[in-house]
Amino acid sequence: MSTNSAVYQADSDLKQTARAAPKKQLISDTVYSVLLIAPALVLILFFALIPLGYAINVSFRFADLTSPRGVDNYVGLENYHFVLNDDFFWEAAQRTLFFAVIAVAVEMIAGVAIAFLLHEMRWFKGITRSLIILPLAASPVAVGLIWRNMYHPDFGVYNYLVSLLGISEQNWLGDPDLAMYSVIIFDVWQWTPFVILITLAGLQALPKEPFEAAQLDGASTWRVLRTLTFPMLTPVLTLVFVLRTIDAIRLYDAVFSLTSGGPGTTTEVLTYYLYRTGLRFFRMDRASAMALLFLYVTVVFTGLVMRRFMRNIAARTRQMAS
Amino acid sequence: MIRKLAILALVFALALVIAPRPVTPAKAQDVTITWATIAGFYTDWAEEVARQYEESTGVNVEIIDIDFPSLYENQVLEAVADTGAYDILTYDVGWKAEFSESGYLLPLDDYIANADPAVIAFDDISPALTETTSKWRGKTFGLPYYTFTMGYFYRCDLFENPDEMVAFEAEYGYPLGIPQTYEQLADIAEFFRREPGETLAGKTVEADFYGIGLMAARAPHVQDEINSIAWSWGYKVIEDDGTPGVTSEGFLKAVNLYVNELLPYAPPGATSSAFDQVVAQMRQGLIAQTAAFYLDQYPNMVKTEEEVEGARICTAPAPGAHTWVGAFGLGVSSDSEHPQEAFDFVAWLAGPEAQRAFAAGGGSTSRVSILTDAAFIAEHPLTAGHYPTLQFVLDHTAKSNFYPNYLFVPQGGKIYDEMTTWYSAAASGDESPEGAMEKMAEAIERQCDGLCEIANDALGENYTPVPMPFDYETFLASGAYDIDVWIANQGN
Amino acid sequence: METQRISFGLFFRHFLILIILIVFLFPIYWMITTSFKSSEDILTRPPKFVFEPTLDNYRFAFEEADFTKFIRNTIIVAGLSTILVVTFGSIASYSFARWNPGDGHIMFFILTTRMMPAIAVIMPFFLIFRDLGKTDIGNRFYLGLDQPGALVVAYTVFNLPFAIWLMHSFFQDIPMELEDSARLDGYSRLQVFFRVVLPLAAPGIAVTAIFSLLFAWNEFLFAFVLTRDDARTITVGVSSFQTQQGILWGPLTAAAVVCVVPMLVVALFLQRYMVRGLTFGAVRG
Repeated sequence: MSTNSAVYQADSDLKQTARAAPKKQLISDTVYSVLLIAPALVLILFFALIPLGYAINVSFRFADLTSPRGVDNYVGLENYHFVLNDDFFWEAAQRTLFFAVIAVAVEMIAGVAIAFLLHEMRWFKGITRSLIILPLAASPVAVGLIWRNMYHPDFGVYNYLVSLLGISEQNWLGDPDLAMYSVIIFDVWQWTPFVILITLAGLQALPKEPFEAAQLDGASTWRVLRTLTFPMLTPVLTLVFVLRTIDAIRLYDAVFSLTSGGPGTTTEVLTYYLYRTGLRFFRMDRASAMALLFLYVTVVFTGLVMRRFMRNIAARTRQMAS
Repeated sequence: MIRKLAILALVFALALVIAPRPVTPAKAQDVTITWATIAGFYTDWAEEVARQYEESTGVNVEIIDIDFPSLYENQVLEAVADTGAYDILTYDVGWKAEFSESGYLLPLDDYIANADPAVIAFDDISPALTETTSKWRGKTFGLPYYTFTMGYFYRCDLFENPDEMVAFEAEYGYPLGIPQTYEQLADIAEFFRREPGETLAGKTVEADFYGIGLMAARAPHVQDEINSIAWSWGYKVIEDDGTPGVTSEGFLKAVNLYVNELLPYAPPGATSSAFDQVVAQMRQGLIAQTAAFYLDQYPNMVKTEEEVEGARICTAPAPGAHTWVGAFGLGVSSDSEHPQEAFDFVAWLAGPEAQRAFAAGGGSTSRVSILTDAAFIAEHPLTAGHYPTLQFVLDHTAKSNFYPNYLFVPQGGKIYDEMTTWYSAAASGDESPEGAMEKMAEAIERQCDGLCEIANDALGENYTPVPMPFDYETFLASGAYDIDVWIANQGN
Repeated sequence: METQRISFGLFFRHFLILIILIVFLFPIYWMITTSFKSSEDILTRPPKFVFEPTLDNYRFAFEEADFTKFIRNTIIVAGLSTILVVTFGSIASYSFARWNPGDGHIMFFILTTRMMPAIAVIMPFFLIFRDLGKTDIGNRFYLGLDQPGALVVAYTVFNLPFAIWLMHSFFQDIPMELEDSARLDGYSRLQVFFRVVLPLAAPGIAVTAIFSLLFAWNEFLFAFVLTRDDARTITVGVSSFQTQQGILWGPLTAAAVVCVVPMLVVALFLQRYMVRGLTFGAVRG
C-alpha cells in the first residue's frame, strides 16, 4: 500500500502540470458529495420524516380514528403513560425478546456451522450452495401460509414425518407451549441461509497466508479456529448479527400468516400487538407511542453494537481522504 | 452491465413520463360503483350477477375482493381516511353498530321508502336477519345478502345405528338423538370418541375417531362456538347495564364446558382449526358431530356422503337454538359519490330475483320466500338441504327476540377481535378459563372506555332478556333434520 | 485444505450436508407438489405423497383470480423500485464512502429509518399517497392509492438504507489511487464515477440489486394496505385465497408457487454474484 501510494504520488507530481488547466471545477468536493446523496436523502427525509412527524404528533394527542373525535386534543404524556403501564404491551415485548434471542442464536450457530461444512466440501459445492439459500428467496407470507397447512396436526405433513420417526404427533401451532417454537423453526428455516451465505463469503475472503503458516507450525484445528478464523470473521458476524436482530424484533409476516398471534396470545409479538392497536383498533395515539418507544430501543441497541463499526468507517474515510 | 442498467432505468423513466394519465370515465353518464367484498365463491357468483346487472342497467359494478381476515381493517382504513374508494361496504353483523355509529354507512330508510316494493320486498327478509344485520338506532343501514346463521351438523347414520343407540342409552340413561342441551352434546362427544381397535357402528375403527369437531383456533369462529353455549343459557358477553358479563359464574361455566367437556373429544388439531378444517375432518370421516356450526357450509358438509362410505349428514339447530344469527350485510358507503346507484345495486342483489339465483348457485339466502320454497329445495337437495333447519332457527330467534348485546355496541368490531383472542387463550390452555375471561373483561372495558353503550332501543319494546325454549317436537315432526325425510313429508 | 484425503470424514461431511439440504428444501418440494394436487388430495390424513397431478389449481388461480395482473404489477413495482434503489443508492453510497458527508451521522440516520416498524408508518404512508394521488404530479406518476407508483416509492424508501449500507464497503475498497490517476488522465468526476468506480463496484451493485428485488417482490404489508385491486401484487393475491368458504388450499398453493418460483430462480442463478459480491464488499466490514 505505502509503496503503491508513493508511486502514485510521484506519478501525480509528474502530471501536475497536465491537469492544471482543463480540470477547473465548477463545484467543490463538498457540494459534489452532497449532490450525490441528495436524491436518496430527499426521498428518505420526505418519506421517513413525515411519518415520523405524524407519529410523534399523534402520540401526544387523543387519536381514535374510528371515533367521531378522530385525531383530537393534546393529552401530554398520557399515551406513553398508558403504554408503559399496559400489561399486554410488556407481555408482547417479552415474547419479542424471547423470539429474537432464540431465533437469532439458533440461526447464527447453525448458519456458521453449516457454512464451515459447506466451505470444506469437495464435491457439489456450487450446486449445494445455490440450493441451500433458496428459502431466503421465498416470500414469507406465501410460504408462511403453506407452512400453516404443513403444521396442521390432523392433515399436515410434519406430523406424518414426525410419526415416522416414532415421535408422537404434535399440535404445532395450537399448543401454547409449542407455538412460539414452531414460529421460530419457520424463521430459522428461512433465515439461516442468510447467515450461511454471508459467513461463506467471509470464509472465502480470508487471506491464505496466516493459515498456511499455522499449518506449517502444526497448530491444531481448534487453535486455528480460535486464534485465526473467528477473530477474522468477527466483523462479518457482527454485521449479520445486527441485521438479523433488527429483522427478528420486527417479525411480522410469519406471525401474520402462521398463527395470527395465537393460540391465545402466545405468539403475539410486539409488532403484531402494534398492528392490532393501530390497524384493528385504530388507536393511532397508543400505536404511535408504542412504535416510537420501539424505535428508540432499536436505535439505541444498534448504536451500541455498531459504534465500533461506525468509528472504523469514519476512520477509514478520513484516512482515505487525507 | 452498469450501462445496460442505466439505459433500462432511463427507458422506464421515459415510459412513465410519456405514459397516458389514468383513464378517466369516457362518458359523463357512465357510472361505476365499487363494491368491497369477501373473496371466495360468493364473490364469483356476485361477479356473474354484476355483469347481468351492468347489461340491464348500464351501471358498471367493480368488485374488490378482499381476503376475509383483512376485510374489517381494509374497509375501516378507507373509511376513516375518507378516500371514497368504495361505494358499497360488506360487513359482518358484529361490525354493524360500529360502521353505522362511526358514519361509514349511509342510512337507507329514505331509499327503501322510495324503492319499488317488488324489487326490494323488504318484508320478505327474515326478521331475525334485519334485526341483527340491518337495523341500528331505529334506522336501516344495510341489507343482508347471505346468512351464516349457525346450526348443528351430525352423522345421522351413526346416530341412528341400533347398536350405538342401545349402547348410548345404557350408558347415559336417555336415548341418543339430536342434542337439546349442551350437556347432551358433551355426552355425545364423549360417547363417540373411539380409539383404534374399538368398534363404531359395527366396524372396527383403524384410526382415531372423535366425538366432535371444534374450530378453536385464533379466528373469529371460536367465539361463535363459545358464545352460543353461554347464549343458549342466557349469559351475555356484555350485560344489559354495559358491564362485561364474561366473568359471571354462569358464563364461566359455559367456557369451562367448552374447554373441559368438548375439547378433549375433538381431534388434537382443534386449536389450529377453523371451520374449513372441521369440514375436512367431517369429510375424512374423523368426527361424529359439530358444536354450533355455520349452516351455510351444508353444500360442503354434504360431500361427506360421497366420500365416507355409508355416511349421512343431518342438520339441526345448535342445542337450545340460540346461536350466532347473522348475515353479511351490504350497505352504502357514506363517502360514495353515487349513493342512489349503489343502493339500487344493493337492493337488487338482496332482492328476490338475484337471491333466487344466488340460492340456486349454492348460497344461503336471507329471504323467507326462498327458504320455505319446498319445490326449490326439492330441486336443490345438495345445496339447499339445510334451508328447513335454517328457517326454524331464524324463526325461533325472531319470535324470542333475544339477541346478543354486543351486536348493538358501537365498538362491536373491536370487541369481536378481543373475544377471538381470549377465547383462543382459554381453548388452547394458554390461560385458565377464569384468567382468560378476566383479561377479556379488561379488554372489553378498555375498548368501550368504561361502560359499553348498548343501543337497546334498536331491539324494540318487547325485548325479552331471557332465552326461549325451542320447540323440538315440531322440529322433529317436520323432518327438517334430514332433507330426504323433510321432502317426503312435504308430499303429505 | 487442498491436500485433504478422501476419507470417511469427508464422506460423512457430504452426507451431513445432504441431510441438511433435504431439510431446507423439503418445504419447497412440498409446496410445489401440493400445487398439483386436486382439492380432495390436499387435506387428507395421512398426507399423500403419491397422487394424480392436475393443473386445476393453476387454472383457477389464473382464470378466477386474475393472477396475470398481479404478476404484472409485481414485476413493474419490484423492477422499478430496484432500479431506483440501485441508482440513488449507489451514488449516495459512493459519496459516503469517498467523502462521508455528515461525518457518519447522516449515514447512521439513514440506517435508523429502516428500524421503524412498518406498521407504525403505514397509516401516514396511506394518507400521503391518498393526497399525492389528488395532485397533478401524483396523477402523472401513478402515485395515488391503488397505483403502482405508490408502491415503487414505498419500496425504494424502505430499501435505500439497506442498499447504501451494503454498497458502502464496496466503494470503500476501491483504491483512491485509481480514481486519482483517472482524474489525472483528464476524466471529470462524473466520468471517474461511471468509467472507473462503477465497473469495479459491479459485484456489489449486483448483490444490492438482487436483495432489493427480493425484498420488493416478497413484501406484503405495504402492498396490502396501499393497493385495492388495480395495483394489487402477487403476495396479496396469494393471501386472498383465504375466503369465507375457508382457505382454498389448492389455488393458494399454486399462487404461492407462482409467487415464489421466480425469486428461487433468481437466487439459484445469481447466487454466484451474491456470494462473490458479499466477499468483495460487506465482509470487510
